[in-house]
Amino acid sequence: MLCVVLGSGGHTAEMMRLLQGVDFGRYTRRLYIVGDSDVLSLDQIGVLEGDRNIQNEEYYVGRVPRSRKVGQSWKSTPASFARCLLSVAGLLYNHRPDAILCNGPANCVAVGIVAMVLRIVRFKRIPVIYVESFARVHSLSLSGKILYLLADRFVVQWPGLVRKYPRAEYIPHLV
Amino acid sequence: MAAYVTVGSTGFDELVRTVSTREFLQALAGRGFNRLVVQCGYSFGLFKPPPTESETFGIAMESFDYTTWPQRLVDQADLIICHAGAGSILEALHSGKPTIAVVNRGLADNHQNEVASELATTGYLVVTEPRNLASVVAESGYASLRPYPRADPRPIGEVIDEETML
Repeated sequence: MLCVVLGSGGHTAEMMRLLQGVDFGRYTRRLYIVGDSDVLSLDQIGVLEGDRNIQNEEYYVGRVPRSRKVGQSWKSTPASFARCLLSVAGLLYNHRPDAILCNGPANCVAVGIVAMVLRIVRFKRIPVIYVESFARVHSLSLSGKILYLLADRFVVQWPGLVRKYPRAEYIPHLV
Repeated sequence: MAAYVTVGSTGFDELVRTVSTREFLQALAGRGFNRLVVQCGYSFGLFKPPPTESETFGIAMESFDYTTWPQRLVDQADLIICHAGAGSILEALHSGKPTIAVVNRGLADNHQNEVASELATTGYLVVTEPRNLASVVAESGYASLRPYPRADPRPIGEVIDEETML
């Protein structure tokens, strides 16, 4: 099973492009992790999966509380982040995906942390593949900086980032 | 010939105002355009073109806040003028249409402009600000752009495959 983490508009649009490169015939079960207020991502999943509509394939949508809303005060962030972590932990525990693909929304920090914990407690090794947004040319996003430490594979779309982050892999023209 | 202006999911007051000025419309007409379609987002109320046809230089105009079929409008356009957001830029470039990306200096997060600047350096698009848009069009600064390479997301599938085989 492949787990895909979706966030807000731009990230979701880019993820939909990235998913065109994934062989769904190989990952016949998909788990989408979506912020609970993110209706647009639900539409996008519907379009993507509706177009396929292939027998013997199934997909799940796991809605998690947003780890931090835009403009939310930093004081109330830890509590909502904890709720997000718990919710993500439940999803990954129940579905046991074989890999996680994420590209930058805040939720992917929680997903990366939970995946790391599940590995440490020897529940399952779930490799995390992070693709930094096409919008980041010279610097990583906050999620990117954190996931650089947590992800098994860290892909960037601009060459300058590899110089600053040597563990990153530069792959041009992905989207 | 049609020009499609798009501000994306939010709004861009200055761009929407600019594309309804006489100066801009005159520049468009001068390049042979007779149709202008403007997606305004929440800046919709600011699209106020001159009232008479002589003042719009014979350009037929259409404007709305959001559209369900942006792809169709992109396909029909001969020139795309978009805000410098990464998503809009990608859509425009993949359409193969000449693209002018307009930078919004009012945005706190200027990372989006980095993409536009980088792509402009390689000659895939023209990047400008609202106040210079009319002259870029008048001088057809968008005429000799390089085609943008087709996207190939397959390497991401390969990375996932490699990791799941471990």
